[in-house]
Amino acid sequence: MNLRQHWYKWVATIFLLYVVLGGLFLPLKPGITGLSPVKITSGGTQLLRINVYNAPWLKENAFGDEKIGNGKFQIPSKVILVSKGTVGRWETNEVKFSGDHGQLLANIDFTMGESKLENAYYSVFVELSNGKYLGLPDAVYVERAVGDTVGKSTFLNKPSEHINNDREIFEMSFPNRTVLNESVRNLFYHVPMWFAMLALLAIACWYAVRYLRFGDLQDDIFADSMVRVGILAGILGCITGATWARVTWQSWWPAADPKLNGVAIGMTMYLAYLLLRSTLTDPYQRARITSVYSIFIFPIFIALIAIMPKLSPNSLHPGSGGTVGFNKYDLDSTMRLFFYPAVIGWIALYYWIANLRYRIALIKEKQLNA
Amino acid sequence: MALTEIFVLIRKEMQLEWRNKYAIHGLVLYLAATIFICYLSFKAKQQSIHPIMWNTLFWIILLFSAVNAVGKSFTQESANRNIFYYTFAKPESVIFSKIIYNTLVMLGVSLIGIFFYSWVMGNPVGNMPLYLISLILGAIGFASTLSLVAGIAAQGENSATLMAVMSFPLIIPLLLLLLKLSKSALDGISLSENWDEIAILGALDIIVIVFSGILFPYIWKH
Repeated sequence: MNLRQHWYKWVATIFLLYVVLGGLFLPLKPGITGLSPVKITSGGTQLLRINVYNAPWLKENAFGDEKIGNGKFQIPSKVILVSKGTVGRWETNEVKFSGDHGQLLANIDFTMGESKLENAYYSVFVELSNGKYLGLPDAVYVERAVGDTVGKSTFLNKPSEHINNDREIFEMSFPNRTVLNESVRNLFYHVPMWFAMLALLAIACWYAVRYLRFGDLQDDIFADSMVRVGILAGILGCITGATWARVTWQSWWPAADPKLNGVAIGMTMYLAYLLLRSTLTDPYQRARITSVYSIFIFPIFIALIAIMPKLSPNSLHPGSGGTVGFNKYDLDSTMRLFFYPAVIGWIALYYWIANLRYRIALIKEKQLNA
Repeated sequence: MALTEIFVLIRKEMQLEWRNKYAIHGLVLYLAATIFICYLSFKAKQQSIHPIMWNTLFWIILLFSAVNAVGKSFTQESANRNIFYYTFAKPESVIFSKIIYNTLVMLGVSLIGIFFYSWVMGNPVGNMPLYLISLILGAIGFASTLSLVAGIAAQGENSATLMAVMSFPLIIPLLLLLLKLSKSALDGISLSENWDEIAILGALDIIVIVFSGILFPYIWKH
């Protein structure tokens, strides 16, 4: 087997093996998945139950080890509630474990008293013994009780101590974000499908131009294979996207998203390409006409899935229509270590499949002519 | 000279249309019937229609009329006659003459359409000149996009189905922009605040026309 000629097959195999294994087996960073109650009325002590996912103290087997508390292990030392606008801050040092140690119990005295504190949403942070934080933004709503207007308030006014949860030091684990949770791993499958589709359709467009310039029927068969496998990648992108949307956006096909609608229209254009191809019988005429159509629709397809969603005012997809890009979620770049190889690997794999289809089509063509 | 060639071809199209008037009459009747159906199913039942629905409905009517009007561009004349044109005219002249002629037809259809539509459905448009500009840009865009698609579809066997399947997805970006611009006109927003949308639409029209000029010669030669 000629190594140099088949380099992309090696790229596809090795990169995708790395991405699939790493993407499935690397753990998520610890994070808070939820807490109860979510609404607190002030004036008295309240028990907060905080559920921690992938708790580091469980992973490190901190229990049964005598060195707890010397700073080596990550055990919770403080629970802090901070509000965004007006600075309200409650905290407690008394953090207890509940049951299997995956849930934390914290008693906090919520008294607003004579302070000018307003009702607000509070973010919850768990400070660990090594100085790091686990956080859940805007998790609790604290409102003033009817009689809670006299006496000293228990909240701390420390505006200088702002908790910066955005800074994460590098470690080999995926980010743990609210709503996304474990589904963040789908990034290595859903997004590269679209990159691969775009790449294959771009190659198809290029070979269509080549056919019109040089008139070699092989270029047309190659372009056709690229389009067909590109549509396959698009369908798989839709399926992986629909499952992801079901988990995060609660719907298989959220209607308001311009990217989804753009892709639906774009796919119809390429399905029309296949229809057009099947109605023409003369190979040269078919090649000429479908090449023209393929060149004509490719820029419109790009406009539909890449440019129009960026211009539209609302979109659910990251990085379009006012939403933050996915890189905001990936602060220590662990995702990138897998995402870029995934993109290259999937493009190489689809190119491989399209190439096989091309060779089969060539053999069929030869049998027809023989 | 290419310009005289285009002019001669446009005149030929007009004469053909004038000699057998059934096509243009059919188009106007189609338009009137569709508008009347819309009137019966919306206005006559509910007494009032939401302006956004008014606008969308009108553009959908225009879209279907355009597909009908432009779709026959290349199937109307026999293959032998096309070969005859091929011998003396440049393909660029053929497609540009078709685009210009279809633009004129679409302008006529739009104006008759908006007149009749306003008559039966009422006219909530706040800024009529801007609405007319969107109609003109729409006529150019529909005519240029659909002319090339008609040229492609005429090569296949089942050209009416092919025409519909290929043109609807292609026309959607244009239609969305047109809906946005005409919505602004509906709300009475002034012309000066819509320059960028007009510019995008104009640029899209020009891109499609240039693309048609580049790609049509490959369809035309057999």
